[in-house]
Amino acid sequence: VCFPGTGSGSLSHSILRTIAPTGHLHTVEFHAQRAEKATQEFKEHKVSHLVTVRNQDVCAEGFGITGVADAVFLDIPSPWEAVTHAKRALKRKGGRLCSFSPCIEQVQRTCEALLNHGFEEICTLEVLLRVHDVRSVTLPLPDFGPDLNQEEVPNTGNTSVICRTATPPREMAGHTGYLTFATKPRD
Amino acid sequence: MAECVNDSDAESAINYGDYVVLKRGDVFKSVQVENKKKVIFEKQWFFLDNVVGQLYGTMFEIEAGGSLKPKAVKRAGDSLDSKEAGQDNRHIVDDGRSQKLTRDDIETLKEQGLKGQEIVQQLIDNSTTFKDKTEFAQAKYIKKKKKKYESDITVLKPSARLLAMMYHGREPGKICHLRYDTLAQILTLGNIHAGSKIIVFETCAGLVLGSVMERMGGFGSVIQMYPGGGPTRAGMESFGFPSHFHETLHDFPLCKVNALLAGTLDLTEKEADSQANGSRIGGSDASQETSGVSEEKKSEPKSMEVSVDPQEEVRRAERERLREHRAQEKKVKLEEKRKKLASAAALLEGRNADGLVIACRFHPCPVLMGLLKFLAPSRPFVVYCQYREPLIECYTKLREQGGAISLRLTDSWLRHYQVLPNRTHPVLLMSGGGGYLLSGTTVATDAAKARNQHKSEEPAAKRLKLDEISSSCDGTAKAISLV
Repeated sequence: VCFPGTGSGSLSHSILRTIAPTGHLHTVEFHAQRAEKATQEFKEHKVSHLVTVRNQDVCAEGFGITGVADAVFLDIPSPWEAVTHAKRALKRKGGRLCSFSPCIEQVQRTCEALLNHGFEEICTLEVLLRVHDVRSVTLPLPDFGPDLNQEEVPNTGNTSVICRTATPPREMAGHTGYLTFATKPRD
Repeated sequence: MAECVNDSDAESAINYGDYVVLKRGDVFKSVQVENKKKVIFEKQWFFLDNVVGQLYGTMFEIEAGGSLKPKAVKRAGDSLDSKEAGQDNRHIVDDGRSQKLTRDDIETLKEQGLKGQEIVQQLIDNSTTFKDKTEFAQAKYIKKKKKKYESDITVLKPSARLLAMMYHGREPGKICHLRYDTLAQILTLGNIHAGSKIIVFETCAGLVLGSVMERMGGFGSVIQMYPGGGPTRAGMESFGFPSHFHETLHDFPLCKVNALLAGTLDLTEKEADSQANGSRIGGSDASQETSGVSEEKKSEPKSMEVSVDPQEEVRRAERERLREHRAQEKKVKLEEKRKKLASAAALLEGRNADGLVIACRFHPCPVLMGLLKFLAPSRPFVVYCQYREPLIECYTKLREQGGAISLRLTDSWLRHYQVLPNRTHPVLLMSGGGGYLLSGTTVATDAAKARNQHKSEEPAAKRLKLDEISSSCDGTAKAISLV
């Protein structure tokens, strides 16, 4: 798996957990200090045999590997500039690509670049995780006054009902970014 | 460093017996490649024999007679552009008469062997209104006709992504309407990874089981709990895993869980074997044995009437031998079954599983409470339910009982987009159509009880940071896990 923008290493760890023990992660970080910190952390977490960190600019120089990746993930400001490199990094027999962008203009440019490079099954979607707060809510019952038609004396003690329900939080993340997936077909 | 460029390309070609996924446009179907077997897909029938020897990802076209022929790689920009286009549709009258070719004409063209693309070109040429349509309308028209008349099929290697999309598109009822992004969430929230011991209870045709196994890559073990007679694995088989993957898979019947927990599960070789023998002779087994037995019963009264004749004697000896042979086979099978049960029980007994995944049509609450006992503390569990209320019950029960923290009830909202120049917009809203997930982490129960008395209901946000490697809590990281 390849992806540029190692950053904090959060995504790297998630991917490493998934591809261990037989996979490998190639990641590129243009910020020298972050690249070094990430390399150190991988070593501390005893996963450095599974990952290669390269300190370079993916849009200019690519991933540094050819025909090796089953999947490429792009979380950078200009993913369309990395599409050529991504295509080269993917295996000849084909692979999957995913690009994450907050702005629709970025998505449009990326989709165009993917189409021009012969990618197939180009699909853009948005997915949001919604958390539901489980709690008990107390709903008061209305008082319509004494009901003369009723024979029994109603239980005046019950003025409210407790419901167990789940509500979404008042404010929730409505958008983080668009995900664009594509398949590189066999060369 | 794993710079294996070439050896992964020396992959196996498609073979008889392989499970593949057929794709036409957005429609998928999982089939097994069998000799001269007729396959029906998207209203067309054909034989898969010609895919044997080809590589996965190859596109085929269906020839007359049902044989498949590999198609050359498509070049980008098929020449179906038209020369002129209109500005808007103010003068276009939709009277249903703009297409000059009749249905019979099209059938004739098909019979003549015209390729899909050629038929579409004919339709364009014979449409009086095509040149007046706007460019966008023309593209839409071409896309629609292509979908109808181009019959190219791609043969793909199965994967969780393809099978999840297939099941959700074709038979969502079989998988409790589990949407593919929710499945991705399950794999991430459950921290499914190679080398762990995962308990799975699902009634999703084996799709969830297969996805878990795919994620584990053949390392570790998966114990499939099953209700009723036997585990359903059809969906799992469609993944086409190599045989060593199957060695990691165990199964255990739900009806023996209480016995196992109480320590009273009987795994010894019982005289049940001989009992089974006896009952078979009585004809109570609903297997081939009954036909053999009833035959015997029928013929015996006859031989009583007629004097014993040497041929009859030979036949009777033959039947006796056959019966003994079958009894022996049955004994061996029972022994195998007993061994499998014992090995699954051994894995469960330790109550130290690394993860639990539940995705079923049963009410999740009792299932969860029953199976949680097999998990080690500080391990994740995920429960999928098509509906929200049963999970609310689970949440409430777990809060009361203790034993779990970081409980989260979530669902994911998915929206597809059409991205085309000047034509970008969302396509279809599938909000809430993917089911709900309850996830949490187990804790050692003594500590939990003390904690419950003091803590508020809010799960500690801090705890989430200490969660394992999958630290990101938004939907994206989980969504891409299914790439």
